[in-house]
Amino acid sequence: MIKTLWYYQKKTLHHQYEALPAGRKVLYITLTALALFIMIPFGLGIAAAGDVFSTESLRAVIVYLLLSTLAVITFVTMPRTFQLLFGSKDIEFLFTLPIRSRHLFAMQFFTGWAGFPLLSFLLLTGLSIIIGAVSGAHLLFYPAAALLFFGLSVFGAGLAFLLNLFLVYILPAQRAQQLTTVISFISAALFILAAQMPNIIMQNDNTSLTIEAAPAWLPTQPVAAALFASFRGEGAGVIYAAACLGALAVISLASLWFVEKHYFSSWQRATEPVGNKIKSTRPGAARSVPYAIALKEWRTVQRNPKEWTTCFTFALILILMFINFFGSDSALASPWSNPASAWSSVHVMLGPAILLGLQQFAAAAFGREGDSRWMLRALPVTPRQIVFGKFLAHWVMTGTALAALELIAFLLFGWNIVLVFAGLALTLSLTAVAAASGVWAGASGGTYNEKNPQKRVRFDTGVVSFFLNVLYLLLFFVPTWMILSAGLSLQSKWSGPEPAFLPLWDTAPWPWISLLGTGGVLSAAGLTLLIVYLHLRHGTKELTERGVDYLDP
Amino acid sequence: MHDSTAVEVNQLTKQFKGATAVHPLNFEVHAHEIFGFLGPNGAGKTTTMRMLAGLLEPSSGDGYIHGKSIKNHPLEAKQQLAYLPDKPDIYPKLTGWEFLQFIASVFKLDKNIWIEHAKRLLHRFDLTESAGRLMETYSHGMKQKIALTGALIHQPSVIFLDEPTVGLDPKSSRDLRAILRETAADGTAVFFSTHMLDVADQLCDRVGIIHRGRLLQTGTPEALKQEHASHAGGSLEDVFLRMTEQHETEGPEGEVP
Ligand SMILES: Nc1ncnc2c1ncn2[C@@H]1O[C@H](COP(=O)(O)OP(=O)(O)OP(=O)(O)O)[C@@H](O)[C@H]1O
Ligand SMILES: [Mg+2]
Repeated sequence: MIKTLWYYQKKTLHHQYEALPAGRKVLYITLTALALFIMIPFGLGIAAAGDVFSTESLRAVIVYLLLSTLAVITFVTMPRTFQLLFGSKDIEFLFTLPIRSRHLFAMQFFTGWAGFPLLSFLLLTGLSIIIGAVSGAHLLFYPAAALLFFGLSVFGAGLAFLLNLFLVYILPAQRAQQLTTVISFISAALFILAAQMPNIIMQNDNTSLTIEAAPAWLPTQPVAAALFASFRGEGAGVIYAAACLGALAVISLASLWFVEKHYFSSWQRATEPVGNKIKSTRPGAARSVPYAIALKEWRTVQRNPKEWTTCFTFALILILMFINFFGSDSALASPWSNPASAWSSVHVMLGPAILLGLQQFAAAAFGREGDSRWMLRALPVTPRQIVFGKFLAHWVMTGTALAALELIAFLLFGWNIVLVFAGLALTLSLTAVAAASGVWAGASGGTYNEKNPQKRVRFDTGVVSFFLNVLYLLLFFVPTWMILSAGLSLQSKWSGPEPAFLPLWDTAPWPWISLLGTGGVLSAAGLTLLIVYLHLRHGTKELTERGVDYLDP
Repeated sequence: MHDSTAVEVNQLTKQFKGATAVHPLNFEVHAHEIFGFLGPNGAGKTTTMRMLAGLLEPSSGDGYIHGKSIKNHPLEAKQQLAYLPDKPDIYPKLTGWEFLQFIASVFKLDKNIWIEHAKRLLHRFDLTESAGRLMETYSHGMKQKIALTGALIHQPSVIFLDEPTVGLDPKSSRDLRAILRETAADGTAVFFSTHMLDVADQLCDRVGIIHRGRLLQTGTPEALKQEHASHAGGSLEDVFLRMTEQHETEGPEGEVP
């Protein structure tokens, strides 16, 4: 049975690869080659850094790194795993056949492992070969590292599958549906945290490069032990490695047993239709077409938490910056004693968060049509109305949310009302730019594929859109600087100077301040109008040119 | 009554990656007429209708809705048509009423008229209760009926229905047929595809038989039956099976004009 399933899976993967456009294949191959190329200097760097540490510190670092690798593998794989276990249409069909859940699970497991975990395994093994060669490891090190990293990748993938099953098992069925949203958020957060890991470890001791030994109970301890022992060619390495792999085998068997029992029932829970108490609004008069489209968009997003996942980048960038900023002990960090400084810092941070994080939300608007995409095509609506309606929806959604945050901050930190309005002008401009550039990306590169419904924009368009927004971030530097300087000088006139990282014009004459302020607001508005106009116009053009079947893969 | 041409199909062709799904098609459907599009699975019915409704770019040729080219003037053409797909996937996160209001906004319908009209249709389809619920909770037939309601409230002059009777219960199916007759009587051209030959026989003023992307014949069910009376039994089913089999054995060249 497992053979049949495997054959079927292999065929599907093969066809998927064949169906890729030639350009995409070249892109993937180039990226892989690039990654391999970067690995060499990276590996050399690590090998060199290894000499700086004492053996104990090095060991602690490796324990922590392995742990964060495991966490990253697990949480990056989780959303995809959820999709594989509960989301795919094939599973529904396969469950109607007399196939053991265990076999189905094994197939899904392999497919899940063959993504990010496999990639991590290859990268880690490649790195250890380079490091080993440079620093003269014993021959035993290479097979041990390969085996251990293989085990780590399997374990990470397995954890991802089990966590999904377990969460669906303990959560009420209705909540289980929203699991992907939560998981995506956690995985994104952990990914960033893991990237911060070196920072956190290093911060402990700026004086010497000694790091306290990692707690002995950490599951990656024996793995590190095995790596070290095999590096020196000690026989103990073999024992450690065998123990690790043995433990892995036991855990795998146990999970297969758990799966056999619970996969089917979990699947039933996760796919059970959710009852809801949404009340229809009263039918009323016809509205203008863009407004009707915007309203439809708003309801779809508001009623479907899965749609919120695209905002997570924004939330994470913001949270990270806040933690880093207010966590530091600079004088600026006390928002109550220095309200204007806090105000300016918050608005400096909002720029990158909005421009780099929120355009994805708007870019998802086209793929969001999903299976209902025939509707807009069959109706007499113009591409311009669609583009404008979607822009309106996303600008209003993100703009209102940020305006509400601004209001909360105003009440919480006691900002001056003039500063709040100046800040609002800036946030509303930035959200408009993010919405317009996102809608443009969706109009020119939006896709929908029922096999992978989370992917909403073509990769190449996503990259272009990202760099465009980096450019806008740079352009907005000028109006931001003008508005913030004016605000800070204003505040210093009222209540004396505050420590600020922007030039504070304590003694600036009133005309200067008003010139800066109005100039800032006007240039922000002008820049916004220009960018929004260009994006919407070009988006409309692209959408028209892509023809009626624009969303089809 | 004398009927103007509502749908005109001119050399309409569709190729999918080299394979031709629809060979150049030419036919007309008139106002006040119910036209049945018959053909075995994969004959090209859905493809043709999607091209005529402006959902799929034709490889060549064109379709006209009351003289408006669907290729060059899609907006004007779509203003007059409605389309009901074979899989009625509609906005899952809207309620029935919100969906209808969306349609009303797109077609700029007068508030009192559209609500009245929608209420009547919903009542006929037993959807009055469920119209306030999210459409993701609807069954297949309910989705079909709400999509049909959306198609009918703006009183299109041409309506395309892709296998509308599939998934409907007997009562809804009968209501649907009655509604289609009324709609046609009001002057709308009704163009629908089906496999249910008895339905086609009862309902259609004219039928077209399509096989492997080629239109074999069009005519009233009576005329077709008469023409084939010497070879086949008396029903439309016999005619259909005979024609498609014949086309099969003769190969694609042996086309009946
Ligand atoms: N996207 C596509 N890519 C390639 N071929 C397609 C595509 N869509 C349809 N076809 C082919 O076009 C032909 C006509 O398909 P179509 O869906 O129009 O048939 P149909 O008459 O509606 O059949 P049914 O009665 O089963 O609904 C078929 O041979 C089908 O395989
Ligand atoms: Mg069909």
